[in-house]
Amino acid sequence: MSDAVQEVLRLERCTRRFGARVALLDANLTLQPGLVGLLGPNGAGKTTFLRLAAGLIRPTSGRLTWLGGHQRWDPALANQIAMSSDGDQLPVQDTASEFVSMLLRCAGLGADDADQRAAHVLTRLGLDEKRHAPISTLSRGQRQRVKLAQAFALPSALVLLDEPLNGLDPVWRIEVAALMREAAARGACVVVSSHILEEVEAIAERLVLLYRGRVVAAGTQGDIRALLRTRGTAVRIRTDDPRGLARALLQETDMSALQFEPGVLLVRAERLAAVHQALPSAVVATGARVHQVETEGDDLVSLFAALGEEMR
Amino acid sequence: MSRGARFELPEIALPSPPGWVAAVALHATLHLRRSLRLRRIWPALLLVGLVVAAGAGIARVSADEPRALITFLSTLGVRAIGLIALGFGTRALRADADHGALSAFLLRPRAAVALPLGRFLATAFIVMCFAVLLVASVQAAAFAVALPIAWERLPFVLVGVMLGALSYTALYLFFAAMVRPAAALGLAWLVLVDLGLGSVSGVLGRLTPGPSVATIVGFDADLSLWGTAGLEVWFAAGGLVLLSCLCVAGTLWRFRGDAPA
Repeated sequence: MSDAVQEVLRLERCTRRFGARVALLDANLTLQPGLVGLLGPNGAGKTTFLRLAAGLIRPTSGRLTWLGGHQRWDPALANQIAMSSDGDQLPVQDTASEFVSMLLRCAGLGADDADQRAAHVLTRLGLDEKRHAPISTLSRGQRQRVKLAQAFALPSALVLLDEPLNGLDPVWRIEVAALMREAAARGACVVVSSHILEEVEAIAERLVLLYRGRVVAAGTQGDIRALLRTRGTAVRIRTDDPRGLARALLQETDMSALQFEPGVLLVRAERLAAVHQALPSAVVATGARVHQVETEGDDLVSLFAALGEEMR
Repeated sequence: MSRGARFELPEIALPSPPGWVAAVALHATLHLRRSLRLRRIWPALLLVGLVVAAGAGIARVSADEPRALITFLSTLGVRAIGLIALGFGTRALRADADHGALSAFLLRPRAAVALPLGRFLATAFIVMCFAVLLVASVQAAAFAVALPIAWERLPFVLVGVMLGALSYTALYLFFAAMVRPAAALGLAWLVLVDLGLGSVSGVLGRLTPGPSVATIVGFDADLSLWGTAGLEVWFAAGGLVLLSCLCVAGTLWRFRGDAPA
């Protein structure tokens, strides 16, 4: 992939409907090279997003372009998109080697090169001894690795992975994460979908949050964490002077409720970000010792629940 | 691979996509190789065996009457080819689509056109081979039992079953591209339309291969190809070619939209 291409995928007001159901609504997003985590609860539209990004389905309205403005069937995009789908989606009567080799031949490799590359990538994913066995005889984790093998077989610019860590044991999760980092390091945009924040957090540099078909947030992990903090319901501060700190905070910002527990000040406010901003000066002003600050309800589940409330 | 020692993936350049013709040929040959495995062709071989046995039985009870064998081929033989095409034709797309592996193929360059076209050509070739095998085996079995081979009729029989193989394949491939329960729909079509309504209705008869194939196979070789009966053969052959073209065009059109799921 050319170094000059920084925009791997662009969605402009993309909507995708399946009959009356809206799977993706008015999505605007630009993806650059790097590891991107696609997060959302089940039914949020992650798979639809990935299938759109792969060009397997078309948007009902809006525009998608790849690698700086190319349309889906542009020859410049040949082999630049790779995907590993969710679920048990493999031709079970073929062997792993036949399947990967077949796809590589369709990509343009000669028969010998395709066989050799398939052997390499399957070996990289620990399937060297199983590559000539029918896929139907492989375990769930091994099948998942076959799917990943075909996605990583070529140095594609956009690698879309739908729930790639499902079925993998902890050791192979680390190995697959390493493979994703390698792909991102050579300039690919690797999109990893999951509904588990911790899983994606450990891998991805940037996050895209989907909820009920909407892109509700996109940014770095820090951006998303900041968003989660502002969405929180309360700030719990463990300090040796709860009342002094509360007085100082009241002078700095608005709060809707204060609650005191032994050694703990619980602050509720409309804008928790303002509380976080005011806290350092309040601490300096009172000289209180603060042991711990945590935001309640700042996890992804709480965020999605809050978004659900807003959308009702 | 030992989990302790990571195998480093050798670097590789992104390959150039194959040309259109090469892509179609590649999909066709890959599909041919996948399909021609014993575990995938034994139902068709079994069906041919059953038809040959039935043909030999017909020959034995209607000795010295070659017309009986032609009637047999234009009714049961043609439907057997329809059944073989149903198996191979729907499987050509549905096997990968049902497993979800079709999307992996469709991400490859030129695949949206090359894949359905290549698989159609490969499947049509396989079904044609089975059709010729079926005719040849039935004729040979009949000859072995009692019946002389009607050589003058053989070209019509062969052309009929070949066109039948082509059009049945195209029809079932179209079904497979359009709907998930393609095999059930195809079987219902074969029984209700091809064997039932199509045999009595002229209009429906044009929408399905069976009646047209029967017209060609059953043509009396003593008649002129340019007479009234001959023109019917030409119309039937043209109808089968047109039906095949329309079904292939429909399949390709389907692949230009969302990938079949």
